[in-house]
Amino acid sequence: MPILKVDRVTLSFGGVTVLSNVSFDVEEKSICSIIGPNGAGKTSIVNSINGFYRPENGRIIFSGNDIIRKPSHKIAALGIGRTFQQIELYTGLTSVENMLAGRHMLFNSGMISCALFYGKARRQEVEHRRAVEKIIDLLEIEPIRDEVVGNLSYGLRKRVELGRALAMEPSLLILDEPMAGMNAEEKEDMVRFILDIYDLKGTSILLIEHDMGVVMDISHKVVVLDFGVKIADGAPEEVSVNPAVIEAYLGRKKA
Amino acid sequence: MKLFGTFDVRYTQCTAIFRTLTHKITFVVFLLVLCFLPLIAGEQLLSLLTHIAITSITVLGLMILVGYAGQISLGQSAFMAVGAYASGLLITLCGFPFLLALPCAGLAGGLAGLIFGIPSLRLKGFYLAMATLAASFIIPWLIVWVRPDITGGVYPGLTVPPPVIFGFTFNTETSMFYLVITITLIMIYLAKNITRTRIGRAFVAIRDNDLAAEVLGINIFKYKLMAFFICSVYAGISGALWGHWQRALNPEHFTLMDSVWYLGMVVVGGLGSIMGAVFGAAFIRILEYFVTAVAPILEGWLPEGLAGGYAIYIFVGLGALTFGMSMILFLIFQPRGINHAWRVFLASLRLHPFSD
Repeated sequence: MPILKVDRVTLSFGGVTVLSNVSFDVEEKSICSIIGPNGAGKTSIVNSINGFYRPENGRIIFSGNDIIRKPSHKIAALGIGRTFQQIELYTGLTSVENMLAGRHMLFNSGMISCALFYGKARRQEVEHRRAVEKIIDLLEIEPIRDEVVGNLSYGLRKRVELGRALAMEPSLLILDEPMAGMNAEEKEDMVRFILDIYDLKGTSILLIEHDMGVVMDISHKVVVLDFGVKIADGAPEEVSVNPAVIEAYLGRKKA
Repeated sequence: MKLFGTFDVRYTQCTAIFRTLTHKITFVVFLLVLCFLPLIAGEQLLSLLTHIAITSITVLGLMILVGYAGQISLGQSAFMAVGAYASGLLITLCGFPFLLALPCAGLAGGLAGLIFGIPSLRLKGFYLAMATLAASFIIPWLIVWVRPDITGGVYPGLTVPPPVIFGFTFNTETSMFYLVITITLIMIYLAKNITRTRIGRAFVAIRDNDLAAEVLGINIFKYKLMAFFICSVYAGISGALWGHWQRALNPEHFTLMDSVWYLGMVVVGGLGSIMGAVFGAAFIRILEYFVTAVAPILEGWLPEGLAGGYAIYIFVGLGALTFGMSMILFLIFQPRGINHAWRVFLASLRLHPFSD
């Protein structure tokens, strides 16, 4: 039973087709990667899942709900968390506050309760702070928990962003190039965190990544896009020998 | 910044308003000073402090809207008018007690703010400012022209009775001072609570990155409207207090220029800080007080015939001049406002003698 089913999705901007008839499934409790050359439509797929873009055709089914016409915040509430290619943190808040803001929809205290800081609001602040501390532990960012994220380095900000997505307690975690611009050591850390999350929480993960070593190592399934068309999907070892994939990446051999 | 040697052992301590004993003692001393001030201070000083406190309430609301949620409103003084008239009319016409009329005034202001906040769904920044500008014209117009028989129009205006709580009439400068300060402290506390809980975080999320906020499950439109609502509830309560303090209302008391001044106070105080709202209100009101004091002196110095020869013209011109000047100076030299300067000062005190 797939947790996410992308079914013949077509998306175009003013006549330019970005995605045409793309279909793939993300199985429950699996790591699925989307790869493809620049401009293949990887981020467009993710943005369509999130409700940023409105595909004109096709369906996107998440845990039995068609989410293609839903507003973004409702899609998030169903259990899809994500990180962004360019880091999109709340720069004025601290790491802890960013993660608490990620848990926003898990709170249900109202305006009056918050204004009085009494009862539910007070209880939930503590309760969710405790949950956030567990994520801080997992991602090893204890020393920067009270730092304003605007002042943090790139690698740490990526980590806080992952923490914020995790704080939502999603059943599907979408990671858009979590390792872009990192050195080998930071990449190793990031892979370790992703595998930890997968092992400990059993979260399904949809990963967009350019580092083939990482993709082939950790994914259960790889989907290859080229110019908005899916050219292959399957287990990493199948995809890596697929002639269409080799052609998309390396070009055609001269006859 | 936390004091060295202060360790949190409970999560509630991380968000506590008064974290250390020193904080608590300072606050109690501050309260005592406020309590005993009327014994030594003259009416003029009390009146200035009351004015600062009333202004602080409306600036607090605007601080939540502008400093936290990142929206903008040029209708703040119009929402104050709604609160002022609501409270005045509810007491004189419907015989409401003051303690019931005040929240109703807040609610009336809030609803007005909600209506003028709707364009924030589509508009940002400058365009949103233009849309809320409409409130500054529509609301006074409604007050003057819809039922002038009830509101009194521009002339004679509306006479508002002094507040009465359980038979006690707040009709002196001293009693008004106590009442206004108490309400202001409560409003500061509520604002602080809003900003340290989920709602405040949602506001900052929208300010810093609205696209990410939406994807991470924050209903942007709902929270933008909530920011407008909270902002204008503060305006409504502030307006109601102002009406009961002045005891006479006229739509011309609530001008667009006042809304601009309130925005200026938010900037001078420091965007995104609750205490900044109080600092900003205090700074501009004290500046205004000095301008009022200086204007008659200048009148004697200036050559005959200049500025029409009237102190009031000099006051108006000098007021705009100093206000504009202080805004420019703050934006250049202290763009993060008085609150930031105050934090830096406190930090340097703590680090003494290791700070310069």
